[in-house]
Amino acid sequence: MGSPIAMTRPDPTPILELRNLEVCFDTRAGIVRGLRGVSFALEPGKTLALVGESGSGKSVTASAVMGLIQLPGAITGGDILWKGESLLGRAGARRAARLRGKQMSMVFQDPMTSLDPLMSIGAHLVEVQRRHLGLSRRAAAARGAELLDAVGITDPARRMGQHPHELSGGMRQRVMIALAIACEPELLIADEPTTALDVTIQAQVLDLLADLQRDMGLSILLITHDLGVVAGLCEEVAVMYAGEIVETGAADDLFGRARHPYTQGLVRATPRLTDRSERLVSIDGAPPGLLDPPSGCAFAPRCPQTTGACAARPPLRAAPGGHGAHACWNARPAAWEPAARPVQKASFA
Amino acid sequence: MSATDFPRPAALRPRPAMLAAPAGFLAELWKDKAAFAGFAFLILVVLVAIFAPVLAPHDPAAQSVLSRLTPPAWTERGSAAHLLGTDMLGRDVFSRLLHGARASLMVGVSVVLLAGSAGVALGLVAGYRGGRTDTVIMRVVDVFVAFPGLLLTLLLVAMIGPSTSTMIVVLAFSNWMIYTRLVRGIVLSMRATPFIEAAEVLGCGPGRILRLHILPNLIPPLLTLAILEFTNILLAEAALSFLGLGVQPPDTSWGLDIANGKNYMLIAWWPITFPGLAIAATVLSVNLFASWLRVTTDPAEREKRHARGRARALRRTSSENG
Amino acid sequence: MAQFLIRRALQGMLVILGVTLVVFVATRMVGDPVQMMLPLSASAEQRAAFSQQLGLDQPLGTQFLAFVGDLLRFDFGDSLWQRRPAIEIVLTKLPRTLELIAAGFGFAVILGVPLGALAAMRPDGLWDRIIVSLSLIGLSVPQFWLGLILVMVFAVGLGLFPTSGSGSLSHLVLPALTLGIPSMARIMMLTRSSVIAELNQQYVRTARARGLPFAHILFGHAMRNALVPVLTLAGWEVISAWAGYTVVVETVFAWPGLGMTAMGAINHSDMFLLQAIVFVVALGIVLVSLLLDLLYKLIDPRIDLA
Repeated sequence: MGSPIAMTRPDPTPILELRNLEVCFDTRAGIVRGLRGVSFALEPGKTLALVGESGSGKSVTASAVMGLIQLPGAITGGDILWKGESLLGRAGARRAARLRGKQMSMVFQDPMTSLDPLMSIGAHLVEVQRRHLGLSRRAAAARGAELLDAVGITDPARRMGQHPHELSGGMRQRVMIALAIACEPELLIADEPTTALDVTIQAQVLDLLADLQRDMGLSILLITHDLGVVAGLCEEVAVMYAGEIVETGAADDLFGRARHPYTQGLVRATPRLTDRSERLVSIDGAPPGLLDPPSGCAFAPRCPQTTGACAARPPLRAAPGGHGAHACWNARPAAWEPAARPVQKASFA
Repeated sequence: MSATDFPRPAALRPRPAMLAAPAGFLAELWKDKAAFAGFAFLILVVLVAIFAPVLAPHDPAAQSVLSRLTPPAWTERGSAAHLLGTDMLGRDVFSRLLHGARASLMVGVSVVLLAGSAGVALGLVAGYRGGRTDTVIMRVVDVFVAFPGLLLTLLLVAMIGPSTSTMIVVLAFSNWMIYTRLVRGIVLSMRATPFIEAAEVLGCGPGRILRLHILPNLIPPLLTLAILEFTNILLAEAALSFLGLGVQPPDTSWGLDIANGKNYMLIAWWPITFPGLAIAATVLSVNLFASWLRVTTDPAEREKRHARGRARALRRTSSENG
Repeated sequence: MAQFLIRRALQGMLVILGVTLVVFVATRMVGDPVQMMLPLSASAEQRAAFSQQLGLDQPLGTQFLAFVGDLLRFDFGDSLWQRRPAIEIVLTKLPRTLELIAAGFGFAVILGVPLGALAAMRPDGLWDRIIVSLSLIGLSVPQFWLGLILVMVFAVGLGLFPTSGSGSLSHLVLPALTLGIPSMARIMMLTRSSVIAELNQQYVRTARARGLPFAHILFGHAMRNALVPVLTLAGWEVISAWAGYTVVVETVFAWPGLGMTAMGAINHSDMFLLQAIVFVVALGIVLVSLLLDLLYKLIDPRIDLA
């Protein structure tokens, strides 16, 4: 814990860096520790995926970065850095307010409720551009139609005048993306952008994100529980469990060479078209409650390879050979690794 | 966190166990001082209504020409015999106040029970039977809601002849619709839930489903509604009695006392002030208690209340520090 | 749209028919109009003649049809109390009541909505506590008593306004306040809870993520959405006042509108006048609710009137 984990190459200043971030929720039942020291760095132009099951703290991380944590929740420790400058504290909050919606923007999980039901699509687009780009109403409307076109919405002129309830879920998510990229941000946070959509639409939205990243040089923080989404879009992956990161690594590597038993479990639980013979294996048990998190390894109760060492909390350590990092005392290659992964890269040292 | 955010209909939230435990109920209530005060005052009003003949120092109807319009005891010309003074006919205002509580509570409780049971029964039928029955019942509700409320009540009372029982029947006649709407809405949303469907598939009869599954979910919102309706009836009773179309002399009622005192309010403030305060305090108490009850029987609301409390505490500490 | 208007007109007719039925039953079957309207000293012949004049000797079905026919022609008969057509009296009193309602509700909405929103901005803050407490008191006080107390304090005690009657702007102040205060309290409470609910909506979160300032989110988004339920309540308040609260307030202040006329009709057993008032009021309710539905459509694009 403590020091940020360099992902692959430590060269340019990360656009976004989290240092040991802690978030708590003060509920009637007690203090829920939503994030328990989360650290990662995202380099410009890269895509980082945060994966994990519901309640692992992925969305809380996104909200914290966007400054959307509201009471009863609060950031209780650690730091969030934008290009090396803190976004917390009084000066940091002012800095964050200037960035929000302009340099960094967010696409949310549920496109059905994310738009003001009484406002037309055009009015949403005009509003954000007038605010951040200082455009005239007319110029903002013209550019808004171009943005709709850019995110693959047909007949943008007509759509501008329509209201959210007249659009399908996939359309609305495209509108949300258009709103998010309207001010040409450097960082886009996408919080489960495809979860609420039909499978065919999911692929289209992911393709759109990939295109935008290529064309605009966006950095993307993608939050998902779907490893299939990660493989297609991301360069780096951080796996979250019970409010902390348990493993990080390059996306190409991680699935083949997962070292943390939880990541291995996740990979085994994901269906793959190539390996027809393999059975899906679920992870027994449920994640610990964060009201009173365990002092040792949070995954230990569900872990197939627990030892006495697991009573102490394992730090996130760089794996030998430079393949990411993991937080496990007993990390070892998955049993199925050498034979079952034909896609492994030759660079294995 | 996102998985916990999906909306659930209010009726499906688990019922808090506190409704079953009186001690826990009082402990919880004590935390909200205003609601506790309201509840305590209501208990007091109920006790006064029951024991009015024992508690009242005078016969509420006893007139005395000699002690007409005596001011309250603490004023200059006041008399210790009449704590809150006397009215135009020399009747003791305090004793009339105690007896007046009976009319208010009696009318309020009767109307809520009468209108409530009719409205709930129709709502259950409409929600459970659905189809034509539902359409007809709800159309009747729509028509009744669009009736010219108080004015039609006045017309009916004037035609039938004013009396306490007329007032009860007429007020029930014009106030049952809201129960039907509430109950029907909840039954409809409940019927669409998997656990009722499962019970139906398993062969549970409608009576059993209503009793075991739907009724328990109906009670908290229904209780809150009935309590709030009680305040409306209390105010309507006072207004009707004030207009001379409610409680008739020699019976007493707070509204009636205000009507009596109105004609000489320029020379004596006490005969109208105290009955009015009694009505306002009773209604306020019910409102305080009901808003606490609504929040307490709804777990999501309780969580919000807690969050607001924390927010307040944090603001306080931050303003002290900086 | 045309379809919607037709459907609403049919519904309105259903309401009017319902009111007709209730009034018919109340006046012809529950009460005895002859006994109510003629003095006790009237002879048996006089009673029989009057009964025939009213058509009370006819079968009930015939009576009802004649009754409905008269209503369709706005013929409510002559007022027994004032000896002229009942509808004429109603039309001369109508403007005074409308004036009172406009003043009372203008005040209730103009103060209630902004104060409710102010309270919602910081739930449980100082302003919120003050505003909620005042609202609770406002909706707990009986309206007629509030009127009397206002008279005692502002008219008798301070001599600022006349105690009763009408004619000038200063005559209007106290009745309008009395009519408006309980409505204002309810509008304040609903605006508050509605704005709080809207501020917790997902679209507010996304608007914050787009970097829009709080004031913009509050006024540009949350308030507009919050006003949909507030409009329902405001409409309901106008209807309730129109359908009865004005009776109480006009009686307290001797305001010469429909409400006081209704009380006079009751006290003089003037069935025809009372009927006319009830019908005009029922018609008004149907019109106001139609107007409300059209307003919704204007505010909320999701509402489909077809």
